[in-house]
Amino acid sequence: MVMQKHEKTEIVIVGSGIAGSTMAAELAEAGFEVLVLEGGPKRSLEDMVSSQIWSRRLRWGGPPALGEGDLVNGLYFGMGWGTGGAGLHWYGNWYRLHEADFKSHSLYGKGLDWPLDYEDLRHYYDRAQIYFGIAGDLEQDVWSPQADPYPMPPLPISRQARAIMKGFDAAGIPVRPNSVAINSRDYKGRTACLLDGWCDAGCPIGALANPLVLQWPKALGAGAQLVNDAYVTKITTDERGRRATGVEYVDTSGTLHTQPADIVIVAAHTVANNRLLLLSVSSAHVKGLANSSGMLGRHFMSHPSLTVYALFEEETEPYRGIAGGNLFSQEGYDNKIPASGAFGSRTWICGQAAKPNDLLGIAMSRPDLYGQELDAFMRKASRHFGNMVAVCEETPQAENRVILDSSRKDRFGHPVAKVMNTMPVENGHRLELARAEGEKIFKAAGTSDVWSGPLAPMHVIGGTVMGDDPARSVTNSYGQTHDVENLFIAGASLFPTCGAVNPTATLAALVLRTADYIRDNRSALMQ
Amino acid sequence: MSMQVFSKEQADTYAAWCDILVAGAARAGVAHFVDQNIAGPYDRALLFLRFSEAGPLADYYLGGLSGIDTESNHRFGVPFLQLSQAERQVIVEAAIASKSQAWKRPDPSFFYLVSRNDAVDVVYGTEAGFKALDTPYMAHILPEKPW
Repeated sequence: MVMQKHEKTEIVIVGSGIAGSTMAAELAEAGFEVLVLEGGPKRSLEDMVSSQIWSRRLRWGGPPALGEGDLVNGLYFGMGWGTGGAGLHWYGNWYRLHEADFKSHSLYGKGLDWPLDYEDLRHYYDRAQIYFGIAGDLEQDVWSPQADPYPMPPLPISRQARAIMKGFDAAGIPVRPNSVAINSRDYKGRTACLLDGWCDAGCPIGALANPLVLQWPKALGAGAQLVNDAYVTKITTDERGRRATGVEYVDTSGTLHTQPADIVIVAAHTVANNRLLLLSVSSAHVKGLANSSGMLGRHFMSHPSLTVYALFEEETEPYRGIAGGNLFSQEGYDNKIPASGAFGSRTWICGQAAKPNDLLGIAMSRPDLYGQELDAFMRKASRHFGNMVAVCEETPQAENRVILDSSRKDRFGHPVAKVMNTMPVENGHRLELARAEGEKIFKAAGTSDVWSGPLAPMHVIGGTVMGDDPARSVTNSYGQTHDVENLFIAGASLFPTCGAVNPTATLAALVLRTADYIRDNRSALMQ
Repeated sequence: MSMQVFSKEQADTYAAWCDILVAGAARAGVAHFVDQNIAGPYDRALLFLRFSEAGPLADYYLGGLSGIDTESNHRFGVPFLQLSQAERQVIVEAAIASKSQAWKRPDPSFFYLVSRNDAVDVVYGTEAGFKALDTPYMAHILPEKPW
């Protein structure tokens, strides 16, 4: 194999998505020499073609990730590939974890506690919502923890959302305008949303905050470098295994590159973060890097979710709006034991814009239909469709984990990741309560044509969880690994619990906090 | 346009199968759509199947086509292309209900889901498909070609 050794950089970051690019921008602006390695190709705004068919090129194109269990299918839908990662096709839903989400073990004897609480993170949540540009209305939002007001008013309410709102009103359940990283007016040089529903095919106008329009201009402007098609296979350490010395990566020609660095930050997708650490074995780290606790890969989570559908009497224009949802409700979120045998919080996200095709499209809402029945359904649903999704909580379990599976190898001979995730029974019961509630709400809206979909996993979280105890966790609250002082992790793989909210707001807040920590401890970390 | 991976018979079988799932899929070119995308690199493919780990794309589709004919031969003694519409529907219904008798791999029910989505893509998921549903396309960037 051809080998190439590079000059040392101060910081090397693995992954160019929301976590990696935000970290790169923050640290480059703080004066660090930053190099980002991205496994996938270069992306530009021209790649954000308005088509659910063409959008699949933005999805995961790296080595296989095998799945086992009932809460792991469709893994690649939420994973990105290339500059910006999943940040090119995310939906912009933006919620904070609630205070109790940080103390699940202390309060309920379930799952894990975070090594920080909401107040430790609040300032960074506030910073992140200015950074990304969040539209929403905290005065109407009676559920979120105390926070600064959002910088933009909420987006207009779509016709679909209005139809759904009638159901919430009739059922006596509050519902509010959604909080999203999508501009409701021009914001910091980025234009307002046109409400055309193409969010997950990419937003080339930059109304939805994505790394190509937000973080990468900042990072590159501050001198950070980005190398695409750089597939990182190992984090290297010194002989004692106490300090990371850099990374090894392979380019498309098969050349093996050695990239020394003072600080290594692993900021790829959750599965990729776990796999890279597991692959980085050495005589000092025989079970994988930063795994003296044996916890690496464990406590993997996903949000158990299901979608409730209806055909409303009125026309709903389901193709308009935003893919993330126009309304939300967290009524009862803080009651994690809503019934005996059920556990977890729940968020309703309502009125997602839906195109005819793709995983979350109109046709997939009735996978049982085909032929003339399907055609008749499509013609009616394209005018009268409504949908909302229940995001529920998975309690972290040590046996739900990411491992290496040597039965399959990537093209360079390294074992692939296998994700094992089986939903705890109590979380399944919580989800079924949500199903009944959702169908009741839609029926209350005055339509009898209501149905709901199967259990579906949403988001991938955990495996490199943070904690105070080095014997029970992989990193401290800054994402700094307990075992290797100059090795950091960024992303949702750090979360000890997942709550019942989309993870990006918390991911971003943690990145900003870690970047501050690295900046404030520069000399100690760069020794 | 010639096929790159499918034989003519395989292409015709896939088109006929998908045409039952979504009327117009054959004429919309579903066999070419899949053939074109399983011939190239995985990360450039435009297929719904990319959301799941199903192994090499071409192997998956060729396995599914083999399964369709295996089931057809088992039930009716002839390949799928030689069946009547009603008989073809029997094969489809069995796949949906996970009651295929001879077709084991790839999972017939999931193959139905995947192929139905391919058919939905080419019939309803293009600019012309949106228009047929009276759905405004409202593109930021129009695709240079449907797929």
